[in-house]
Amino acid sequence: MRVNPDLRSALLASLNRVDANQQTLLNQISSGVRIQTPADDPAGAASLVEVQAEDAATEQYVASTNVLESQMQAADSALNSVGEALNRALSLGAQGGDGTLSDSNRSAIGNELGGIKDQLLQLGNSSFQGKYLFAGTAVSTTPYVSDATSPTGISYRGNDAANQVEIGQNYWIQSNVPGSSIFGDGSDGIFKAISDLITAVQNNSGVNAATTEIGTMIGQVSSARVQYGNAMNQLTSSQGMLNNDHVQLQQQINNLSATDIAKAASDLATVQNQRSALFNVIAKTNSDSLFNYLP
Amino acid sequence: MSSLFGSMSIASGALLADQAGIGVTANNVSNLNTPGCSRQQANLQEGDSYFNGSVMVPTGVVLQNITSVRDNVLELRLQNEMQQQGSLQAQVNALSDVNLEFSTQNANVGSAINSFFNSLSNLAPNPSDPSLRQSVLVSAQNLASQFQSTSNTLTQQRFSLGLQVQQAVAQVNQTTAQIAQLNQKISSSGLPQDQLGTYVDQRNLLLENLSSLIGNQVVTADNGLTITAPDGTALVVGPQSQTLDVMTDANSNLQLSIGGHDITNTLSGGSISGLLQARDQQIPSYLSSLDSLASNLITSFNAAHQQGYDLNGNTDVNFFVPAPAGGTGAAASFAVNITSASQIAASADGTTGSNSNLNAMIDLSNQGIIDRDTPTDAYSNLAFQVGCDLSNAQSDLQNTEAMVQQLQNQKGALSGVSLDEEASNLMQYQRAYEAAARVLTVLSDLTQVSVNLGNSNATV
Repeated sequence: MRVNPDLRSALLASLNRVDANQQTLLNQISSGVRIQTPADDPAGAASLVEVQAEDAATEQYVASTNVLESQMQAADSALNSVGEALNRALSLGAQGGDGTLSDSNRSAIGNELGGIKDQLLQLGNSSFQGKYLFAGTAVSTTPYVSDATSPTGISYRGNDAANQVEIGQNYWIQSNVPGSSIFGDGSDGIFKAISDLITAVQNNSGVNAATTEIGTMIGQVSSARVQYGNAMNQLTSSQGMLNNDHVQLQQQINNLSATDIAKAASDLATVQNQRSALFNVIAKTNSDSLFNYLP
Repeated sequence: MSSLFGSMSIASGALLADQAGIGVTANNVSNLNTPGCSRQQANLQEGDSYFNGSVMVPTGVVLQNITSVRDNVLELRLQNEMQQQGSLQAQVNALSDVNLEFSTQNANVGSAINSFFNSLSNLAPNPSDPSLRQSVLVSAQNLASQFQSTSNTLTQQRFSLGLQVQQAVAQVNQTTAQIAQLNQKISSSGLPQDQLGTYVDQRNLLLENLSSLIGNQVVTADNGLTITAPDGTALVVGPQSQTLDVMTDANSNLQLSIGGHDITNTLSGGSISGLLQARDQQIPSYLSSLDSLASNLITSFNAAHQQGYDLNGNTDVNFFVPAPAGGTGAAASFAVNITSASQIAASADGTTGSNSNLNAMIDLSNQGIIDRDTPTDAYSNLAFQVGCDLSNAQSDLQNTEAMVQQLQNQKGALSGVSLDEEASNLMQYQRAYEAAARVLTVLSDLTQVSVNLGNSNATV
């Protein structure tokens, strides 16, 4: 039976296929990526889109927790100073309750308490990166301002709203405590307590009651600090989980899309062998025929 | 008894026949590399004997005809397979460029969607921060450009595929005209097809070319060869060829017709069919998915954005330019409506630092706003579709190429010129010619003798 005497076209077709394989492997090795376009692995490419989106979101959550951490630490540190100031007021109040004080002593205590009130006003207006920490969501408005119409001379211009921020899939935390819950709205709360104490010391009456008010306010500030403390704990534990998630997702991405370099390199060696074998065969065929042997 | 002269005419007849054989060998050898050429063979036959009254007198050898060795059924199978190959190759080429647009190695619509929603999440802890707001605006603009550029690439590809179809149609018309001319020559020669080596080989080559361009069916009848489109519309009938026309219809799809008869929907096989498949079915479906993603994203996002307040206290403002009604073209016209970062409506109640409306917008990335898919799911489905179409075409093409290779091998086995065989034939004809010449020489001498019989003065 006859066989096709033209071996050349079949061999060239094989050579083309081998060259195409070589090209693919070289691309995979040099870029480190196995899925260059969706056609390389359609199902893998579709999964890759989802996993990459999840990983990007995870990294974003981590960034958000870092930002919130700084904000909350600033707030907590301000509240720490508030606590110290209130404790000083408390001990001044205890001193002022002593009926044996002279007028000038009482006056001195009153002055110091006045200084503490100013300090508390400043602390109420603490800001971080240009935004007021204790104004609720009215972060560009000075929360505590001088107001002659207010019994304490101070009124609250902020609001009662708190923001929620997502720090993980469906995991939300409150990112701020409004000033009204901590310091009061000017006519009550801390500023009332300190104003009352100043008045009481000046008039030498009701000092004990006013001092007790200060004690209550110290409790209120502690509660707020507990809120911030809990939130910061949540941030830390969320960061831990998010970092784990990130590592796992990166691993998935790697598995889906990264070239297995060892396998690709060995495949490349095989393909290159095929090429040289084909070259040899193509060179040797078609070089001899019966015509060379005719007399 | 045959006479000396009779034998001389037998010997000279042999010389002619062997010359013809050598001629056929020379023709085969010289056409070794001619594409589509089938080997020919000289068919020698014993001459008719006649009865001279006592014996049947042989008359030597006669060249009956020269025929080509080919298998018409194999040829048809090969043409059919080449139609498949042509169609798949065209699809693979067309869809490869499209796949690049969705590669995870470059920025793509999916990564732009991620960046946009992440820029919103980044803003959530500090909704009034100007530089974070600016980042959102920049991400949104990037998202818009990415949608536009992907849509443009797909539309451009359709345009360039349209040009390729026009070129292919022109080639089809050239080829059918040439086939018609050959049909004329073949039928007017009056000879059976296997004796018309050159013409039929050329026509088969043209038929293979035609098959890679357009699906067709070939019918051989008494008045010659008829080629029809898959639905039976005649493309070539004998010496007459019809023109294939292409035009764009009202929906910007291509329409192919022969003599006014629309054959577009029944066309299959050939690169034209593959190009049409890619241009008017596959790519439009990608565009439609992209537009659906774009328009649903725009509409849902605007609805959420309108509920909120920006830093200037304004509400009920669109974030993106609203999508065209019906969604078509939403990707190509994707644009950001607000011009300054302060217009991002993050606040739910008008206070500067509220992020509740921002949270509502961020949550859209988890909601089934694209026909019950999230934006990421919708993009992932689109990437899968794009990858699958190309990957399927590639593996089908590989199978078809293997089949074509096998059929061409079979054709070569039957019709290919083998140098070894021609060399051996050459030797045979050469020896036979030499032997016949020698016989003729002897007969010539004998005739000389016989002419001089009884002439004692003749020198032999």
